[in-house]
Amino acid sequence: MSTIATITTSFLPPFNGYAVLVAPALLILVAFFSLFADKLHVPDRAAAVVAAVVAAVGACWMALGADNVILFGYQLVYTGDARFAATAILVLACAWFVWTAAAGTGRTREATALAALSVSGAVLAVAALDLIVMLLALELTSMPAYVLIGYRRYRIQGLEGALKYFLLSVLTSLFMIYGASMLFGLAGSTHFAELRALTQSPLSLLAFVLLIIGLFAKLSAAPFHWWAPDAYAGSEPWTVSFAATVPKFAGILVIVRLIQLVSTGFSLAQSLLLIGAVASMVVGTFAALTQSDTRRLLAYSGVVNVGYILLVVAASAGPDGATYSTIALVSSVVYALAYTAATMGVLLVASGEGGRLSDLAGLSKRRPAAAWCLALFVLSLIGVPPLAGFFGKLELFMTAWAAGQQVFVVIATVVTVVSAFYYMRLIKAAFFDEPERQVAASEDSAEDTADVAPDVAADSAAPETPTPAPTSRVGVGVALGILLAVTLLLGVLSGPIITWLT
Amino acid sequence: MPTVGLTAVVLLAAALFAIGLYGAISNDSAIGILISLEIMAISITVNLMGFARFSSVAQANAWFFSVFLMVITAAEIGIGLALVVAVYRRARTSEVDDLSELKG
Amino acid sequence: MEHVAQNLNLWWVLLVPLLPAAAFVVLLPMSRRVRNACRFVPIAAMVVALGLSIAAAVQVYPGSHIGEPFWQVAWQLATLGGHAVTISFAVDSLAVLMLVMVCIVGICVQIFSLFYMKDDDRRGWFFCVMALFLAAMLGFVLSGSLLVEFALWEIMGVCSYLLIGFWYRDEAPRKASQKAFLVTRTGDVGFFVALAAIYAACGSFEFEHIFATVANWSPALLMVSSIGLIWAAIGKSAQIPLSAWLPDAMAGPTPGSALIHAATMVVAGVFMLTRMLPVLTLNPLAMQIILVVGIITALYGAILACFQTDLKKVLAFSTISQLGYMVAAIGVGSATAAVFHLTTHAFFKALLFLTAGIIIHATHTQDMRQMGGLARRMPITTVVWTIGAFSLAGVLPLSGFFSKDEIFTVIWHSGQYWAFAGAAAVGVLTSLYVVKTWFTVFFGNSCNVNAHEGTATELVPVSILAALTLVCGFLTIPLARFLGHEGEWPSLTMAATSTAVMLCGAALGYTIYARQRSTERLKQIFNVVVSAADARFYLDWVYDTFFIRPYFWLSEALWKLDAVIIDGAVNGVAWLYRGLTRLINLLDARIIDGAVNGAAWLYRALTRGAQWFDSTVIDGIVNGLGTLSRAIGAALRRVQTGHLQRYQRLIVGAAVVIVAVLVLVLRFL
Repeated sequence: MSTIATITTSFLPPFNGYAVLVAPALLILVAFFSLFADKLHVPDRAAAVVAAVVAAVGACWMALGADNVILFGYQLVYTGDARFAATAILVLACAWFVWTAAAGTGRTREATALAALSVSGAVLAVAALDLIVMLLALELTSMPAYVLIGYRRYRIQGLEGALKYFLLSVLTSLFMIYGASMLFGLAGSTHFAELRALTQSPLSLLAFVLLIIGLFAKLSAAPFHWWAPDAYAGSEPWTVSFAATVPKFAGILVIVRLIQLVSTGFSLAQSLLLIGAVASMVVGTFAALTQSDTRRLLAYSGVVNVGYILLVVAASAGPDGATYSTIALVSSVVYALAYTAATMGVLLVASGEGGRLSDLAGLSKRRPAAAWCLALFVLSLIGVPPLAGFFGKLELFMTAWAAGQQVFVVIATVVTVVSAFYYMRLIKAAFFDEPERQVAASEDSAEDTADVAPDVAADSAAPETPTPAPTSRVGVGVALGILLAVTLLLGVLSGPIITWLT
Repeated sequence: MPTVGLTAVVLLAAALFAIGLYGAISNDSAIGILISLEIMAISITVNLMGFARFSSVAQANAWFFSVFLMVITAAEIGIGLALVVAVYRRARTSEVDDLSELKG
Repeated sequence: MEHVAQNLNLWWVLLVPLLPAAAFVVLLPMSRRVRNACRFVPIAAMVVALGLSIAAAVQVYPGSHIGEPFWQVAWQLATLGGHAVTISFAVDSLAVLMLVMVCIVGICVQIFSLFYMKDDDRRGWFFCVMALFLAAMLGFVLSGSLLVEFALWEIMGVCSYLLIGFWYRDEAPRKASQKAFLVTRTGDVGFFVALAAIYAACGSFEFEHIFATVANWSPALLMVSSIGLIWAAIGKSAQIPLSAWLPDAMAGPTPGSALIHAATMVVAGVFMLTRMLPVLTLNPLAMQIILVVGIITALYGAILACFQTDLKKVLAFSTISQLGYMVAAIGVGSATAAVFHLTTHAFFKALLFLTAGIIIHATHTQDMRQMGGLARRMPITTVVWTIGAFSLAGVLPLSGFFSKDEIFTVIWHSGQYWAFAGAAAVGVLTSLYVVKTWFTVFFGNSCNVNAHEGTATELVPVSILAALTLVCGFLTIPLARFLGHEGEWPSLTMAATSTAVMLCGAALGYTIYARQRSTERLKQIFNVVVSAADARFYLDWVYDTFFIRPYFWLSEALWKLDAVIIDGAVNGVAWLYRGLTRLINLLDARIIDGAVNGAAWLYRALTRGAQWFDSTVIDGIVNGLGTLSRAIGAALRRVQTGHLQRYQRLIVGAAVVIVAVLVLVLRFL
């Protein structure tokens, strides 16, 4: 990796330093480009194509850069793990943009803009080492997600989900910012390193708890996850596939880095994380068992997966956390990517069908390739070797066990077993269920495919439906292919990846 | 009564935060919740200014923190109100209790 | 003269203003109906306050110098730039005297209002505002610092505005209250400037501190603060040139006028000057100005009172004139004379106003030309009015005689003989208009056949005041001693002079009016004077042309703002209070209801859980596991109710629980 870096730096000065911010900067430009696509007489999906290209370029840019770029006086530091995470985010984003360009229905240019902004925020968030930067970047990442959830603004469920997501997220964000302000006041600076040196006091511990609570909510960890099921269930799978993945990924990275750097200053960090982990695993698993809606099921599965990650982050938060911090970081990042890619994949497949489990019925006959992709994604989520999910889970549990959290690992294993039950229902629906003899698709898909006139008055009952642009099978294939590649290869390539990360 | 010091400002901020929190969880209307969230944001700004004035933090940090906080809050309120308007247009209500179709 | 040891604990004297304040707060948020029913609350508060005031008087007997408090208290609010900002109250003999006086007059007026306002829809509000006013006035006399005085001064101004404009649906009261507020506001600018100057001079608003350091102030600051205070007193006590508001203020209900514009609020300016005498006496120019203003105002008021046809306007101008007397007494440095006249004036002027209320109520007119021969029909009223009016004129042995004489004495002793001449002229004019009014209203041809005597509720208070007017004069010496000076009876010469002056005016009055000779010829002779007097010596015209017109639109806008803000603020406070009460009730209901429902739900859930567990054990472990998972899942799904507020409360609750667990179970804090 460093040889490539040396070669490229010889061609492209200065590669280090601020150049690493090219990717988020370009994405912001893409966002504006998408917003003004009307005026530029660019067809709707072209914005998504541009965004996909930019994301791909950005991913390469990030991947090939040199290590340890320190920007703005240690506020943004792109160490190996941050760059890996940024690359991963850009890859996911690229997949999503490709899918949007290929099969997006209705107006997609604003969604592209929103996603581009969110991704640029995520890329910044993973490198933040300062409270202010972290907060800003996290907000930048999640705000477009609020709007994306409510993107189809003629569907009241989507708006309801978006409103709930928004209000709950802002509430917990304010907890987080309040805690951050108290920590800032006590420590004298907003930098993570200064926070680590803070003398403990009840006030600082309380502030830390508030900060972590805010982050939990961003990650939809229990018991702060209430927004996730409703928000995802209300919206269409296409937007959920973005909103459930990229912001979560950024949040996971943030909490990993935060705990890694700061937790020695706060004795209750480990307990707090363990409480969150156990609650997430238990609540998410049992609530997911009886779901009949793909999106809601994946929301609860997200809760469970965040629980696993919090478990291993807790390992790096304990009194002897320093020994485990690197391995915890590695395993959590890898697992996060595995989970995110698989979830996005499942949802993208479901975007073509509908949000409910019943919509997936008969998929294997209609779109066999998509059905097999779905199967692989689901198996990764369950943790079947040799897919990425298996390796990720293995790393996680081994790290947690070694760090002394044996009881919790046992709980996690039980939960994994139980999770197979509900994940299998996805496969069952796609392969073994007969579709209903209805020609008309479910209510969800009908409204999904209806185009919405942009400035229709509020009382319109049935928005007019111009002919939707044709779905490009190739594009869909490419998108799913990218994600599939991640899923398949992450496990196999875990060696080099670990080297990259450390 | 001692001079107005850090404790007083922090307590004021905490009180405002609590008031905003109470409003956020007890309000029926989405606008009311937004207002309460705004109050919470203001309380954080007060907190920061208290630290800036009375304790030995880097002043520039505090100012920038609060300015960025205002930016974040402004953006959130913009999104929030847009969502409320959209909800109102579709459902003719802005009471959050009326929006409970999604559950489970 | 021995001083009482100053180690009395008189904290309970603070209850005197607090009780009517509490009455105000209690009445404020009530609905109109309830408030009307509760209008006895302020009266009860005032009765208790009177008791406490009298007890205070007994405690501090035999009094001490003005400005030497028996007890004081100060609360430090904050420290601004090194100096402490405090709220302080001090009880000295002057304050105690004023407390007693205000309480007596206040109670009499309130009892009178019970009858007078009994048909008014908003009578409860009247009592409410009066309670606030009394609280402010009582607090005002107890203030130990200029800042507290200023605050309560402003509150009194607001109450005056509310009471003058009580019948705001008519135009005259609205305009009058606006005028009163604006004119006194102009005076308040002076107060503000004085406050700033005093703070710059000595860094504190406390009277003790001010008096201790005043000798070292720079002359410029001394002058600025003196002028500022004088200007403020001019505004509040309706002296020239800011006296225009007082006659118009008669548009308010008569009991309000009796309390505010005769006895209490208008004397706030005089009182403040009395308190600040140690500062003012160091400034001879300021004292001279005060004297000049006082005499000129007294003349102005007396002259115009002679030309009025409206009964209440006579009293209004008479008040202006008597206030001029008090201010003049301050101007020659005698606080005792001013305070004595202030006290007696309070009693007999309030008496006159209330009696005027009885008369107006009985004859349904305020125009004296439509009254006449009331002596036959309203004997008690006549007697009572006579007592008050003759006291005003200065007839032996009523109290007005003694207090006026004391003022004459101190003016004479000051050597400013021109002022004495002016005061004497005022005396003539005073008895002139007193006699004119007396004859016009009570004697002569009877114009009103339906005039009836007042009811008991009306007559009892006025009788009390009349009795006090009779008696008060003999308290000259004790009162002076109470205020720390050796008092003396008026010398024979002075008594003779003042009686002569009084008789002169009375004779003139009798000649002109008793036989109801037409005054037309007189008016033709003194045409210029009459028309000038009709126009109130063009004072109003000056205002109108040079101040009002240019700001006409501004004042309209200000009025609109005032009505909205002040009414709105008062209503808003009431609304807020009501809303808060409702909120607390709601919270209560929710908590109690929620607890009950929660307990019921818990019981039901427990029962259900027990039943289910039974059937599972029987069915078998493997199946049981699946059912277990699904059931837990279903229960967990039920938590996700779909209601946003439930989620938010769960978040907050979870946060609290987590913190509790971390703190209590895991012992992290």
